Amino acid sequence: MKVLITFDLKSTRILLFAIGIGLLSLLVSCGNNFGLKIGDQDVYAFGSEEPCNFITSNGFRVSWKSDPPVNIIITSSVPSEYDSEILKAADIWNSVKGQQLVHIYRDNSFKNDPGYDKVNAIYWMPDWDTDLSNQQARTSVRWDSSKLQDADIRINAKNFTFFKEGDESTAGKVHLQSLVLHELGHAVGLVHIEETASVMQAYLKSQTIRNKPGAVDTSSLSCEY
Amino acid sequence: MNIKKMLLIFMLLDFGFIGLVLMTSNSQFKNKRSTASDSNGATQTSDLTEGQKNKWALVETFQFQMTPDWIYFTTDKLQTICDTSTLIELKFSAQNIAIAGVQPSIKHIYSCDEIKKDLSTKTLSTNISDFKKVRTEKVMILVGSELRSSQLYSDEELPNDWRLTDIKISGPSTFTINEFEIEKTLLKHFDFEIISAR
Ligand SMILES: [Zn+2]
Repeated sequence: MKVLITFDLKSTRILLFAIGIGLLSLLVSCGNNFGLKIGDQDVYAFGSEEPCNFITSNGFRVSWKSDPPVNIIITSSVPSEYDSEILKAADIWNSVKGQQLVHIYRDNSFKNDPGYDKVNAIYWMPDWDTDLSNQQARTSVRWDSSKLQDADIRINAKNFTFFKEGDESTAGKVHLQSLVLHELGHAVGLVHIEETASVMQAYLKSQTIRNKPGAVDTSSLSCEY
Repeated sequence: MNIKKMLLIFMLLDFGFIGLVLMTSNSQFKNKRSTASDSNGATQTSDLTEGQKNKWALVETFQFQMTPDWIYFTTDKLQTICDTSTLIELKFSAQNIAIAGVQPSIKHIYSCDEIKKDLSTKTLSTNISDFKKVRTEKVMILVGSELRSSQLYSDEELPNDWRLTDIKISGPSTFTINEFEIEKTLLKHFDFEIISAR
């Protein structure tokens, strides 16, 4: 059988077109291997719960769940003249939800150092990390499967002095009630937020009284308590 | 046989091939999507975008391993990542603890310049004694990489339970892979335990 192969101009064009399409499809199928085409927006999995300004773990909000009131001890390290300020801070959080969220009391017999002992306590620290001398206080919390188990509040008594209601001299001092109010927020699971009308803003200026939780603080708490 | 007929058959075969390629890539895409839904109670119903699909394929290459002295993160795509980026940051977060509302973390930041010096490199390693040391040192400059800690204090024990939570790629091409994406794709977390020497 004799096959006559004569390439005229039209046939050549069709042939080139077909080969072109073939190459193009080959390119498309291997496209993924030519560099990573991934952008910042290409997120395909998120945590499962709305954070509501709470710490999250495995996508779930971390809180005391149905445990409140949360018991917190004032240790013997804390000067007793500040007890009333600390108790007032607790009352402020309790009044936000009209339920007792925290219950604070002094226990001079409690001698544990801060740590994971499942006893929540407030410590007055005469020593503080020199690199962090601008940190007024810090709260450490520990949890198990998103349920809080332990909260410890350390107050930086090395680098700061404090004032309470009625004190005449406030220059350069930190309002202890406002500071403890903020730390108690962490103790129940809250994180820092930037909004000005919040007691969970990261920095508290000296001499400033910031003891009124904002609407955002109330709504955050409502997600868990 | 007429040459035009031959060309026509060739063209039809060509289009058939394209169809086949499209069908195959589409069915792979669908498989991935259904896996995505299964692992998280059908929360993800929308299609993965091209970029998400590429990211998924990248995460599939991730491997994590720990020995008594080292933590290893491996991917066949390490060199490919460095073709379009300058830094790779592995963020390890302490589990079950927060200080001032933030989980303590250690970042190991690797330079792509260093990674590209050896084109066979596909593993990023972290020395465990460096990992422990950065709690007090805060920043450690190593050869071709650096370690940085955040919310780790010298008066608190180094937490025991850790997870590789974020892999941040930056440079001309920038994106982050989070712990939820790792879990969704690989159906596991990159968790590890550090026994504190205190
Ligand atoms: Zn704070």
